[in-house]
Amino acid sequence: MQERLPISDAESLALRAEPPRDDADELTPWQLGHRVLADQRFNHAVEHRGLTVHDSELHGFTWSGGVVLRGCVFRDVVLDRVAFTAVRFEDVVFERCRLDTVQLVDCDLVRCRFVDCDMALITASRVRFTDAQFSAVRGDSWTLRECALLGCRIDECTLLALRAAKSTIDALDVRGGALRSAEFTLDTIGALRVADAVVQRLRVVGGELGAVTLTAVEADDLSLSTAQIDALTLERCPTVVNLRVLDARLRALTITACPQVLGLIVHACTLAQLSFSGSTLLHSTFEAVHVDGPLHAADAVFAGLVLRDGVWSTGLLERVRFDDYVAADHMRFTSLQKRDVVEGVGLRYQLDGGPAASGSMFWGALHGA
Amino acid sequence: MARKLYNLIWVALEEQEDKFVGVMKVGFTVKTTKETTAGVILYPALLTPLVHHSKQDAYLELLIATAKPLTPDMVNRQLRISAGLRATKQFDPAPLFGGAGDKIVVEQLGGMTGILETHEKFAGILHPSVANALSNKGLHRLWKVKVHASALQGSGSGRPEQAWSTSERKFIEYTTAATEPKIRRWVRDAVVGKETHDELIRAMLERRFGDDKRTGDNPIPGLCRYAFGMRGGAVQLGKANPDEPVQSYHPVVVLTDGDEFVHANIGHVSDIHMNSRWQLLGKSTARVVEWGEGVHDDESPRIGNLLAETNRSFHEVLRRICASDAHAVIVGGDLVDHIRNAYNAKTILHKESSVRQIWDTMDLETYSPKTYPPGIDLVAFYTLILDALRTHQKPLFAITGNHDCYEDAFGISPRLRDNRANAGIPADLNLTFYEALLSFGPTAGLLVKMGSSFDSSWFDWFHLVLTPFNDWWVKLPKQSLVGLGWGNSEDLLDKAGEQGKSSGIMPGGHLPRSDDAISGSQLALLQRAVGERAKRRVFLTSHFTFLSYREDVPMFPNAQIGSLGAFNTDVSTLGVESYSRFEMGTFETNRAALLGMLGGRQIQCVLTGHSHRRGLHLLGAAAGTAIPALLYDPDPQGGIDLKPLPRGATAAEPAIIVSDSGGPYPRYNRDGEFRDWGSDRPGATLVRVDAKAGDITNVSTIQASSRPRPRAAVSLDYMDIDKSLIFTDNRMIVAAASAELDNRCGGVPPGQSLYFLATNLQAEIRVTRRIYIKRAIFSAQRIVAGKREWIRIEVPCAPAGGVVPVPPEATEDFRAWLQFIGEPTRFVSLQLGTSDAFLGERYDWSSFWNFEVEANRRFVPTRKDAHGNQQYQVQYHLQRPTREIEALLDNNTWREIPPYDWRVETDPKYAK
Repeated sequence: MQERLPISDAESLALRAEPPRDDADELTPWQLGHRVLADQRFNHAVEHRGLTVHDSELHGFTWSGGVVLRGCVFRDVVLDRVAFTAVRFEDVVFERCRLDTVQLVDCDLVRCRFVDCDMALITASRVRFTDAQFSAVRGDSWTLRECALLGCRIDECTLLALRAAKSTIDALDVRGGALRSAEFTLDTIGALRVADAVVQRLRVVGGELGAVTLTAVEADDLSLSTAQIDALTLERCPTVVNLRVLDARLRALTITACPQVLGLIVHACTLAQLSFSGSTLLHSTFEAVHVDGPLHAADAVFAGLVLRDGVWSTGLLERVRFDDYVAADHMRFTSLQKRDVVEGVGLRYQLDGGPAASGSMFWGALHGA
Repeated sequence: MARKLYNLIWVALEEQEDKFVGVMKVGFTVKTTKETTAGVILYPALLTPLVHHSKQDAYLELLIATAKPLTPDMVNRQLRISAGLRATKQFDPAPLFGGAGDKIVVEQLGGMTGILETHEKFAGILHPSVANALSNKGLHRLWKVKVHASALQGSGSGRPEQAWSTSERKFIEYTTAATEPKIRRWVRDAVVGKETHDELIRAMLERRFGDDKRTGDNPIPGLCRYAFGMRGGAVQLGKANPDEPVQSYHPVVVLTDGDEFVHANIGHVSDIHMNSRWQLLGKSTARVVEWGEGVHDDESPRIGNLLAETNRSFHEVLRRICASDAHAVIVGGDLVDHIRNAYNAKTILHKESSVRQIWDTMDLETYSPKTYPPGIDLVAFYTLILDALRTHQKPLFAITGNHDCYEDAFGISPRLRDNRANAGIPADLNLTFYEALLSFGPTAGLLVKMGSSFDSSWFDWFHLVLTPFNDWWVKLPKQSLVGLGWGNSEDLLDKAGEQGKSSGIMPGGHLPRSDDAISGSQLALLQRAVGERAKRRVFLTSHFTFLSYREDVPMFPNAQIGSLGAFNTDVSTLGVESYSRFEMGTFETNRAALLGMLGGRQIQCVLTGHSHRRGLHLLGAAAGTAIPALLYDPDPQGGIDLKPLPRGATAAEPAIIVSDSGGPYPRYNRDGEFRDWGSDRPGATLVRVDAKAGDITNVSTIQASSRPRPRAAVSLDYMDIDKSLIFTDNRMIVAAASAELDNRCGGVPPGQSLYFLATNLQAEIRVTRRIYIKRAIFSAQRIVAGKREWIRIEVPCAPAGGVVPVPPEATEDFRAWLQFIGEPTRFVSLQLGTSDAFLGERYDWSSFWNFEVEANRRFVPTRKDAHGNQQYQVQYHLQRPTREIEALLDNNTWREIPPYDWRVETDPKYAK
């Protein structure tokens, strides 16, 4: 491996304040390779166009003062303890870089791409990411506060402990990879679409969300609380364990073609629509929910279902099987239609906190308020 | 009191004299102005004072820099002696003597770069910043001066005095009134010293802290030109003292009957880390569990009430060490945490600050000279040290530490994960991570400067105000005190060595080492002292260490044989960064020579700080290139007697001592009780010597015993975060009989418990340390009819531990606590106890350990029922947020960060 040398004074000057220019005094592409920049603070207005930094290390580096990077490439670069303040990145590519403890404050990133990078302890405050793409990134502990993510994509990334607070996200597409311990607090999210990924421990607290769609996701420990959500949709998810929707306003909760939904809790929520199809739900609880619209279950299995308190509207059960236990405590549907409902052998019924003598008595009671 | 304090002043009085002009008797007499010279007294200085034994010492000794050639007559007319350390520099205008005669001896010295030496009592190496300042002022000439001690008799004799100072109008104070929230700036008459030295200091202050105007960027009253006022043990940050300018002093401590010594006991206080923003953070009303005003204050008090403020601790440590039988006290560096610090007049003046106001005051994103001006803590240190000098009239000496030139501030826990730098700050303040972060605010994790904050140019304040000497050699009657300054750089990355693997430090990072100490000139100074060791035994002091064990190496009680380490004197291994875990925070240059001196027992005692962890290290007999070193605990309960030697030791000297930190709570690891994260009260070290023979008889810690005890909760928090050593698999477990019952289906008989709590304390905690849970309180906010209400469940715990039932009557609340909490309001509050007598006495066990948890519901398949339905038992893993994921992935980034934005949104107490 080629030795990495300290950045020279001339290079430092070029990077800090006076990048190379051509004969017409236009900024010209240039390269910085195999260099180490340590314990520097640059505070000059400067614009770079076509700068390529490669095989280099930036340690303890602070860059502020009105910096613009256009069409720059960072390839095989270590950025360790680096702070960018009010820096504008346009069409900048980070490729195979390692970013560790990087602070972004009041920055603008437009059409930037992060490819095959390790990015740990990234802190962003009031940063705007527009059309940013993260591909095959291994991320750990990202903290975004009051940021904007517009048209961003996350492909085949493994993100651990992504925390976004008071941020605006118009649409975020997560495809492949894993999202572990993500937290969205008081965010405004137009659409959050996660597909073909592992989602483990997701927290959404407060905020407003448009469509949240999990497609073909292995999901474990998801909690959405005190948020306003337009539609929460799970489709073709092989396992969904411990999904909790708490104290939320939700237009539609839809679970489609999910063979194992274990431990669903919906508590103190207002819903306009509930739909389960082609799915198996085990040990689910709906408590103190206010359902304005219909409950529609079709081609579904409920093994252990508790409906307790709250206000329910109509129900339509088609080709639904109940196993283990089913409880309806202090709640009734305005109307309930059953078509081809199967009651498993040994199914136990609980009505208003006590055992129901029979299934017919139970279903009869549920039929109308 | 058998001590008296004097101050030397260099004045430039315009005096006339009759001068005969002519030849033989033919001529006439004219009035001419007596020649004077601008001069700066270099020795003594505020923290390199002259110790004068009234019975033994015939002369006072000085080092002076002048513009013109110095004559005894100039000294006689320009040197003045003032009783006490009076800021106005009052002096008797009469010359010291009727004539200089043989009472004043003046000899010129060479250049400024070498060792400057008085006639007998002092030698030192000027710091380059002082040499430059002198040169720029035209003070190129250096002199050693002897003045007959009888000159002292004239001062304070009651004759009319003059002041070598003037007064000017200065911005000096903020005021406010309850009825008038507006903050006002007040201008007062303030003292301004007139010595040339004072001019040099003022020029430096002007350069460092801005124009000397009422307004401007610098918001600190007195603009860093004046000490703060003092009230109790705290400096008054909103009020400078107009009568206490930051100026030069040149103290002479005169010892008379009773206080004169042959061999001196030496006190050592180090690592003060003055940090005035902690004084403001102490006003934080934030609570981990926001029960509401006055509700359950004992369980989750205001964090400000828990915070142990460093400045106040230092005040007490300094008072105690000065009041001890130490004859002289060394201040061992790291006087401040960083040069710039948070300042906000409103937060300072208002008795109660909102959480938000504190957050805004601490905020590092709006870091500017106005919000984080430089110099507060330097001035705060100056305030306390001057007070101590006047009060105790004991000689105080000082050297620099690496923090004394750290310019920029950083958060309270600037880096998380395994590269957590300065991880100890919350523990320094006796706070848990969550408490520290919550009270500090959302920028708690930020670094203002990403690279090293070390800027050696800031040492100019230290050397222009406290002492001009980077290194010094003070010659007491039978002892040499040699102090070595930090140097011009630090090394805190170590890619190869084992030090970087230490907990709480970034990978490859370690306690910084001085990489250009010990310099050639420092070595030369020390060698001179060592060369005279037959006449005076050598006490060596530095901030960097010579031998200091990594925090995970324990000490053992009652002077038992300590942990065994070793010096490696094999020079071939030096310079390759292969420092051992016994050499934390050491130096990198000239090690062979220094280690040779220690191995050869040419130095009697080494006093260092830096690692915030006391220890007495005694060397055994060298075996090849290794010298074994034993670690003992010089505890506050009598310390370690070195006569007779403690068990295992073969020699008392050199006694290599590291002192506790004198401001922050130091780390303490006795018998490994909390691994690296035990703490103790701040303290200093007292080295007692046999008054006649000079042998060291005892080394003990003088502690700030009135400060709060270290909280067990803090150590446990660190054990949990850093070591995962509290709960098995990092969790408590709540078990419910079945999924069905957990869903409230099927019913549990009245009076029966549904939930059972396994506290899951690890054997090291439960068995080895005999720690148990006294009280366990589970709290959370649930939303009822749109309003948040607290749930509170107390689960009785038994000292024996094991599985305890959740009271049946609490089942519904507990179910809600487990299932229906999505917001970050779910807490466990544990009050722990111990049956270990030492731990019980050492730590505060009354204070609760409050931490946020999640309840991760787990379905454990058991059997299939008769109908083929899979049955599940339910367990809830009570863990800190994200812990389960990260434990699984062997990653410890888990969240101890409070949900600031959520609190702001939902709790008016945190609102903007």
